[in-house]
Amino acid sequence: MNQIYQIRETIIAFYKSKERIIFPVLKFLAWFIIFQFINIIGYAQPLKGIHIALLFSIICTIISTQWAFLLIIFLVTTHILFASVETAILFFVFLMIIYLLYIRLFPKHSLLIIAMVLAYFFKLPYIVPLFGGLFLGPASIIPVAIGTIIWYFIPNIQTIVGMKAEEIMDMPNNLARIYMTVIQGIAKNHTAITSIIIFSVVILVVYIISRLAIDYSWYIAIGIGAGISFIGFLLGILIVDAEINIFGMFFSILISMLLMFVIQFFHRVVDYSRAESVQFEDDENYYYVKVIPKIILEKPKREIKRIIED
Amino acid sequence: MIDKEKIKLMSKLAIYEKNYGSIDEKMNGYYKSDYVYFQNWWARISAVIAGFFIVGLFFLQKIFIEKIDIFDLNYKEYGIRIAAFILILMAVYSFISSYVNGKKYDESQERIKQYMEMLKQLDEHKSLKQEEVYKENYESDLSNPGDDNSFL
Repeated sequence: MNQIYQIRETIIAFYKSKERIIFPVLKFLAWFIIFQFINIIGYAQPLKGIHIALLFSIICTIISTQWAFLLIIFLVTTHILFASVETAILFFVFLMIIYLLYIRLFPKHSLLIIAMVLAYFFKLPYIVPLFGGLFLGPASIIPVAIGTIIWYFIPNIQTIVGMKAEEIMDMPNNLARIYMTVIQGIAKNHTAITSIIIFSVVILVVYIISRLAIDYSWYIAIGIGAGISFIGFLLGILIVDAEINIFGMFFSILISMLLMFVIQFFHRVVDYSRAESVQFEDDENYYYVKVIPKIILEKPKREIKRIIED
Repeated sequence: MIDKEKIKLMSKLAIYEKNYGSIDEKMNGYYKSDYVYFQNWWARISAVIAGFFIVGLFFLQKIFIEKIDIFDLNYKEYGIRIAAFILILMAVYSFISSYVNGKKYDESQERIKQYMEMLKQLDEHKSLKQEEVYKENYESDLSNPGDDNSFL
């Protein structure tokens, strides 16, 4: 155990010393994966190049989360516009409603929407509710639900885009038809609704247990959250015929749980203030200072063995 | 000679100024009630725009799916319903926005308080240093037994 703590300290110390480089690079990589994902499902050939994904990723690394979301809305709408004007209008309206009613007010929490979609893409959706419950609390139910709806809706885009109006005058009718297909597609998707209910329960349970004043409450919360996910989805498969592979789900939950244990083990890195470079001056000198916060981790208690000679 | 304590304090101040300085300065220009009131207007505008989008979708369904004749619509009834919906949405968002922005303002005030505390520490440190320098330069001379002050 002592060795594990030492490894943790070494990793955290390394991360802190290189944080000014590692953090933006990780941020850039996350945005790059998102824009590549949009490129894969997108329709606009001129926007599908890797250079576009690179450009947007660099921009999103620099700008604030709110503006990054607006950029994503613009990109997604443009992609769909190349395939169907009506669908693009409808998507723009839906995404703007989400933006105006949620993202604008809670930009940081909204990152969970993207995290949820990405987690589904990597077949690890169960990790996000565990993370949300542990670090963000019940407020994470909304972004997790939005992310789940978006993910389960993505396969329907192909069908909707195919619904084209033959004449311009027929466009409003077609728009209404697409709108109804979208609404029915969401309302009748039992897997999506079941997932949202189970994820909400997981978030609440993980949040409550993690705040209890008991030893290892955070780890217990992760374990119980993973258990609820498994039982919940098992019931979902049996009762509402949710389209989920049992073995895939089991391994995904297991990996999510292990990853969350690792994240929890290292989470103090997130708590600490960042490394900074600052410049200032006084009457005598100019100062260029690099500040790296010291990390004081709890060390394991030393065991003392008493050897008493007879 | 570099004063390490001073550099530590100045670094902390510089970090604060770099990360929160401009945001907090902007917020501190308002009273809490004014800041929340001003931010609430943006929340209300967002809620109204989103509300009109939702109303638009509602009418899209009514007119093109349910095939309701727009000339036979009871405009008064629909008008009251839409107004009530928009007003409720605005009220809910004003409440949420008040909570969120009030919390933001309090956090900002707490940071400013800490910043002022650090400035005070820096001032105290400076005057302490000045005193030490003064003592080194002058008081040592006064205590010199070789001084002849008889002409005073």
